Amino acid sequence: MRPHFLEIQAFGPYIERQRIDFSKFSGGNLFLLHGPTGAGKTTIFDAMSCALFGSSTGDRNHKNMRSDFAPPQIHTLINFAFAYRGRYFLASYKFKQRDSDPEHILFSIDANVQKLEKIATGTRKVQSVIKDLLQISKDQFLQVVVLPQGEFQKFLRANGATKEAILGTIFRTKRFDKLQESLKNQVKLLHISLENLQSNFHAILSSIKLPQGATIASYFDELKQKKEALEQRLDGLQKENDAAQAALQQAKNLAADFEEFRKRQEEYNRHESTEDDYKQQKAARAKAEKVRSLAPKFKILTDLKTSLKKAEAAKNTTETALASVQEKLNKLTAAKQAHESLKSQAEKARNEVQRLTEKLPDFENLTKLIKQAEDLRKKLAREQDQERQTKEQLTQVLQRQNALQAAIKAYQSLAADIPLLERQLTDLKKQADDWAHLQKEKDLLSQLERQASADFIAYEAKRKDALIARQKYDEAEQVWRSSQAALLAQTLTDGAPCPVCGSLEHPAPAPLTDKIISYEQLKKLAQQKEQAEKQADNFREKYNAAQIACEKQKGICQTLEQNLKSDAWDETQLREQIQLTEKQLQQAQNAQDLLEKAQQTLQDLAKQDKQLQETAQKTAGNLLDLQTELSGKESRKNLLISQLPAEIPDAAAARKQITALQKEYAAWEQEQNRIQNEWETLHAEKSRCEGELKQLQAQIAEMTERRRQMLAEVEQESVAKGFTDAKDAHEKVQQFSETRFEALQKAIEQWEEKANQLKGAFEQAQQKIAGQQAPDLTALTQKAQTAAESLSKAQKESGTIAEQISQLEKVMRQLTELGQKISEHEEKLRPLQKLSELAEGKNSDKMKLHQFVLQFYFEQVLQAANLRLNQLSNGRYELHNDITAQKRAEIDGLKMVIYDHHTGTTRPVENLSGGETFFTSLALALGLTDVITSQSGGIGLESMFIDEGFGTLDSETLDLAIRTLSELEGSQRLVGIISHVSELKERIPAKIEVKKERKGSKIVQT
Amino acid sequence: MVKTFYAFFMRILHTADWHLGKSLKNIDLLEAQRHALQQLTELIRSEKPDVLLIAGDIYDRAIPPARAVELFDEVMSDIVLGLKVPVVAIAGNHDSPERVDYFNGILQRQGLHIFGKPGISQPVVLRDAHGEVYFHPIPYTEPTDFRLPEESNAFFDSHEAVMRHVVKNITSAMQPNARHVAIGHAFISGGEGCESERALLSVGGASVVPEAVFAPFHYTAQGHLHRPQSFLEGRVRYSGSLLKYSFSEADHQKAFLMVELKEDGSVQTEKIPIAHRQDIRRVKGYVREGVFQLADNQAKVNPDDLLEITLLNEEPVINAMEIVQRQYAYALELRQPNAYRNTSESRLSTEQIAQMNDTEIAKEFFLRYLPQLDATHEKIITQIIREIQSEA
Repeated sequence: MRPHFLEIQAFGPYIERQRIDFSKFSGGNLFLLHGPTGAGKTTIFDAMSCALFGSSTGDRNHKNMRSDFAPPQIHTLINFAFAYRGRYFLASYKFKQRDSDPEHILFSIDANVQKLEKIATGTRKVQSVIKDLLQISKDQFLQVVVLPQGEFQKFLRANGATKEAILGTIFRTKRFDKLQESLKNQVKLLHISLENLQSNFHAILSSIKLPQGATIASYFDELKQKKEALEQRLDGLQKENDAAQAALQQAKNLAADFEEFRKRQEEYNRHESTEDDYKQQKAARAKAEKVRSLAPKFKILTDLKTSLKKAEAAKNTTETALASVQEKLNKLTAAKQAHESLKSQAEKARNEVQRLTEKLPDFENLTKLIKQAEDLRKKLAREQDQERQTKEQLTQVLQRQNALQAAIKAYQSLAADIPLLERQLTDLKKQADDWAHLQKEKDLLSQLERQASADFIAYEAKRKDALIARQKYDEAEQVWRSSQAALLAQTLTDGAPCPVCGSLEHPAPAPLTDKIISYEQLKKLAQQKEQAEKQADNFREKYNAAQIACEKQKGICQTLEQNLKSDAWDETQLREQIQLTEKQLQQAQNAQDLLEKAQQTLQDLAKQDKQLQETAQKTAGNLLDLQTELSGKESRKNLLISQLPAEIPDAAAARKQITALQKEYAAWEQEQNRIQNEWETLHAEKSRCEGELKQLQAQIAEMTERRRQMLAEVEQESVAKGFTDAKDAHEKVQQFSETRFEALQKAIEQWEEKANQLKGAFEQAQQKIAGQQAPDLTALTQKAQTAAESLSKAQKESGTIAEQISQLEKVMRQLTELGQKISEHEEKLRPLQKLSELAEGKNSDKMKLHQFVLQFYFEQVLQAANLRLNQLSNGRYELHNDITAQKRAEIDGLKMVIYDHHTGTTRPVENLSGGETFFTSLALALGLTDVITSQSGGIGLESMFIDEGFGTLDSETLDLAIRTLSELEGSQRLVGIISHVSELKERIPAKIEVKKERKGSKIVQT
Repeated sequence: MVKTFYAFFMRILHTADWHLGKSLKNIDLLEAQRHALQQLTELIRSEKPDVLLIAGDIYDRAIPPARAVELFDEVMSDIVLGLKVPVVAIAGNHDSPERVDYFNGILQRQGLHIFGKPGISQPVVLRDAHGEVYFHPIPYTEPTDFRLPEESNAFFDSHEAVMRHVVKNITSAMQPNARHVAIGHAFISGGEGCESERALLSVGGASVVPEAVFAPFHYTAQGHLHRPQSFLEGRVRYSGSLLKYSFSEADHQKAFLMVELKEDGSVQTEKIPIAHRQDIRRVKGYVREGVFQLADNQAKVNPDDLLEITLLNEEPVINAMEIVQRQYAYALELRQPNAYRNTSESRLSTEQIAQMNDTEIAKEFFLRYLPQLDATHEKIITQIIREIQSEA
């Protein structure tokens, strides 16, 4: 199931209609639903639950869910649209007041046409349809799809039976119960039919009656021997019976022959008694034969009379036709004469046709000439146009030539400046370079000067230092000398010569002062002095060198300055001048380019001019030729016109005239032929009529003669044959009936034939019994009957024995078949029973099939959950099926324990901390949906909502949880997280925010 | 007038992903971070770079603990006020844009330039002997948060779109002859990530940005990926994080990057490794007779190191964590993969299960108790299941 949108109104804290568009997060996404406590986050699930199942998550009924603050006119309304396996549905739940009944409808939505179709009305119906559709109940919906506060961990902590129920529904394990059941039933059915077979077998066995001490087989053999003996006796009896029957039959045949003879004799006698009638019939026949012989002659007479009448009529018709032909002939003669008078006019027309036909080619020539003259005139006009155009073009070319020559002159004068300008530019650039060089040198100079003055200052300082050092030294030396003198003076005694001057008197011996300086001190000062002087010298030299460098640089600058022209520009002016000159040079070069182009154009124009002149000459020649040709055609035309008849303008008219005249002559000729033909036809008809008339007259005469002769003959014969006269005979002939005569004839012949036949049969029967006596049948019959009776008795006995044998054989066959069936059943039952027993839990684990399947899916769920849990717990925890705890058969469903890698032990899931419980539940829920969604026939769980629980996680685990959920984004799952933990806001981009306001809560979707 | 001496070329110190205030398995890493940042201050004192760049994720979370903020304050005071080296820093995806931006006006005047808010900021301009160098901060921006006032309708659904837009705006106003350095916090496509990075947010669109987007800059100092790595011939680089922040980074060598930006805009970089106060390591070993021993091929372990332990014992070790922690107080993670490997009876993957039909599941059951299923057995099962399915 994947939610599409949810609308809520007057429900919980929501008063105005609010809408969440889940499809905005399409494509598999994680979104956050957040807001302050009490704003109505969980109410959103209540609404979904209510729309689907008619009650909220906490089983509150609808009355309590209506918003307290909703104004009475506003309905409480929930519309929840969702998709399930590609189909769309809308569950709608609304009611007006707390005490009014809710209206609960489920629609299916046709996504193409946006049409709603009601598929269930009323909570109970909706619930059942939803349950069929989603295949989960409300409780399960709350455990695997929406995971509300508290409910979330229920699956983790649910007791085994509840887990079994959930997994059983989700994975539809009932089908394995059915398998188990079906196995059991089949085993049961097989057992029943096996028992039936066995009891049948025994019933049949006991139904056979056997003589004392005999078995089925010995009894069967005894019967067979009996049967053989009986069959031999039967053979003899059959033969006796056959003989008796044959004798009886012979006697019966002879008796029949005697009876036949008696019957034939009686018949023959009866026929002979009717002979008189036969004789009378014979006499009547003789009389009728005479009448019959006269009939042909009377017929001929009647025919002759008819023929005569016909010939007379034909003669009259022919005479009338002859008269009509004669009349037509007279009329035609008159017409023929009239037509002859038109002959001369027709011949005249024929001559005219001949004459005009001869003139036809001339007419055609004339037409051709006229057309040729016309064409020539058109051509002439074109050539004249051409001549005019050429002249105009020539004028244009001349104008352009003149203009170009003027331009060339201007360009030449501009281009002539190029060398000069180039020289100027070079010169200017050199000046600029020189100037720049000078500037550089000047910069160097000023740097040198700065250096020099700095050196001078340094030198001055050093010099001062040196002076001071020297002064110090001089003073010190003075002191030292004085002290030396004083020391010497100490040694002076009057009269003794002074070692210095040799004076014997020492009027002013040097006094001893307190200023005393040692020789070392003096020496040190001397060193300092020397050093200072040396330094001063060094600096002086440096300064001197700097000065020299300055001078040298000055000299360079001066030389450079002198080299610059006396009217040298300053740099800016120079640059401007260079730019100006460059521009001028560019212009001059452009002029040079243009000049070349213009000269080229001029050459082209000259070529064009020449071509045009040639064209003009050619056109003039053409014009002359055309005019000559035209005048020739005109004169030939006029000549032809004078030679031809004036009333006929051209060949077409001539042809028309010829056709008309030909028609006229043909009409005359046709009439001529018609008259001639009719003339001949009428003459032929006339002679035919005359011939026919003659023939008819001859015929009439001949027939009249024959009739007369015939009448005389008949008279004579009639009298001869006993009639009064011919008239009497004729009457008799007319009365004679051929049918009656034939009947008479037939009756006579029949009588004769029957007499012969009866006589033959009588004689044959007489012959058959000749020399025989009538037989005695009674004795023979008695004997045959006795033989037959003894045969039939023996046959009956044989039948009884055969019956007994076949019955015994049938029973034996039945028993064999039953035995086979019993073993087949037993064969079939064995594996079924084994499977059934296993499925029922008769196995080493005492595990029933459905338990196994549950365990099987459960383990898959745990395996999938562990993939997440490994990540969420940093590999610390694993969920396991607690199969070691108890014997499987005794487990009340499915149990799980958690393996803790840190402690190396297992512990019940109940011992996990709050945060651990949360992320373990999360892993389990994700694992469950992983397995469900991967099942092809499973429930489509494309969405999942987690209500709170994130508050229990420390920040690192929260990171892990969000990472785990984010990784779901790739899948098709929609995961909603409901939390007030504010950090999540910054971690999940898709958000639905529930805001608490005075007028009810609001939903803001981002 | 004070005469200014310009360096011959610009020397830039590049770092990122400090994640101040982060803890690993409830072990507070603040002292370890202080230890690393002291190395940074010393480096700056001795090497005198012209500028320090911090490419995002200064703090580990939007609301950092007070001690983390204090540490940042100390380090910045030493560097900016004490050593007079300016700092350009941006917010990363872990930082709160607004909070990082606090007092920006005052701080900029002192030489601390921190940029938090998305959008286009004024570049920071510094000089060397060859002229000006522009530093363009590109703080981390979620595509949904990115709005331009003049284009309020524009909506960007991917990081690439946002980054292209920002870079385009920067380049359109760029001084053509100067050198330009960008500071960004993005996931460049082809980059290698690790566990401690938080995935970048985007609704629908891609979260990676192609390296070519940063081509207009002479150098781009990137943050976000915790392993040092480079793109575009070394012109786009990740300095990597300050410390190893997860066990998946155990083999990383964390470093500061010293970047010399030459006159022609080319760069030369040097990695200055960062020493860890406590190393973060993944270790394999056994518990034998109540004592943890390293596996033969494992390097020696410092008792203070933060450890992720994999026990290779074939049987579950009871109280394993306690035993290990007696020797290594900072053993934080422990797994016993071999011990639990065989306890699960499941031999089939979820995908394989999904492929199984009812007959196969039923067979799975019977095969537990029968040596094999002969044709008769199979026929019975198949037939019954077919009947059940046709009823359904």
